[in-house]
Amino acid sequence: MNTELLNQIRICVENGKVNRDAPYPPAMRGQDGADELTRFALNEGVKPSEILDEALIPAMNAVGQKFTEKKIFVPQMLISAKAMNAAMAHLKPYFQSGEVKKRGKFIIGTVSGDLHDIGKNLVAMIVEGAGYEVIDLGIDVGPAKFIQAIGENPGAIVGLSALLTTTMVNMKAITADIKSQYPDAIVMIGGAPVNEQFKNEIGADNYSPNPQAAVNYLNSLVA
Amino acid sequence: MNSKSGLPERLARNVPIDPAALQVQKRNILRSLAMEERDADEYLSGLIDELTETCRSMLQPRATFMVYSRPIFQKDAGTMTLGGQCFDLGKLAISFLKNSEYMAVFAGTCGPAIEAFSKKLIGDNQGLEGYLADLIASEFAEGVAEKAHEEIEKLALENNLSITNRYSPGYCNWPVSDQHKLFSLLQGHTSGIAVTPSSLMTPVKSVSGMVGIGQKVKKMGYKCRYCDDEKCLMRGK
Repeated sequence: MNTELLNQIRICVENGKVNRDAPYPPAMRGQDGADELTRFALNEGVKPSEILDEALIPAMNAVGQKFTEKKIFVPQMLISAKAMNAAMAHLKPYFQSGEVKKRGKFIIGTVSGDLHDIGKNLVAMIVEGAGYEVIDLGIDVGPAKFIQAIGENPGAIVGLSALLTTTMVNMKAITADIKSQYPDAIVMIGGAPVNEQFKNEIGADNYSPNPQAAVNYLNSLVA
Repeated sequence: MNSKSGLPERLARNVPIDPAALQVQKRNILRSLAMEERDADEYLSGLIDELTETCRSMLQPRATFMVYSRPIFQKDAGTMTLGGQCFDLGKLAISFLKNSEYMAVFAGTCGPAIEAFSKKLIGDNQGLEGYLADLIASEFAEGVAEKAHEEIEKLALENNLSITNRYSPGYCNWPVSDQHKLFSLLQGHTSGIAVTPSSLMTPVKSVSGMVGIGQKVKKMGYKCRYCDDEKCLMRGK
């Protein structure tokens, strides 16, 4: 019973079936979605940690993997994230009570001078779907704001995003400032213009070319 | 009238913009999502159409330009001095602007309403709709810039002059930090756009830039193949 319910929730999130009224995907029209099924599962006594670990996280991992392999596109990923959030809303009280724990904290922001946030938000959604608490600082974020967030969230891993060659250079100063204040802080970078070589040049710890790679790196740190 | 009689110097010109005339290219929206038109199903295609019209009803388009004479180009340095300000345009843009006798400095926006709408959608767990609204607003902002470009061309043609492509801080290796200098040349005629200390424009869906004007210049499509910025958002557009 539990296994079947968890499997149904996983399928809904993976395919972006938010709730019964949602028109997407057409093949699942009229069926219950992640919203109803998660509520039902909790009422049936399924543990919230099981819903997270055996349905939501595997579903978003599969979504991230399919995106990496270019089998799905950004819109499908966003619809899956919407389904995941609908399910997560039912789990929120259990996170607040401490009954269900996140795997770690991830601070993310688009660096100063850059207002592009689609890549950053995609990473944030997939990382959140992988069971991490995401602290999204938004766009145009300078070193002071990152450093303040690290101070407020000790042990959090930091992700810097940039979409322009004219703003990626700001990653260098931000990384240096973070490392100066918190030498043990782990800094990840991502965005269209950056690469492994640039990561080495600026002294960051990781370059992730896509959201799933970011999750894989985070998982390697907490394993 | 010819160039000897001169264009109106430092006169702010408002650009008339009819929201109904601003085009949104669905393929550009899809391209921003790393998709081709064939990848979009009926649901996504319909959603883009629906949101385009919703966003169009929220448009508050404005644009202004000012014309400055005698730009001075330092080709080796890749810089241009205009109105007492030195712009680090880069050698590529300079190579296309170098014969300009005048420079039109422009700024335009589609207003703050779509941006607020997009943020609200994202906050309400409608991420796809919010992102599409954001991308549609970017298309509208480019449309506003295109209208400004057309109006600058109209003024040039009236004076038997030609124009160049338009160039914007943040693109073609022109540092976004030059935004403050560009706005200083608009002398307060900024179409309601402000610039943050980190050189971003608010409302976010705004476009600024420069267009060269002269007898020996021409508009010829962007020469992306000469640019080393392989990841540029505007590459191939």
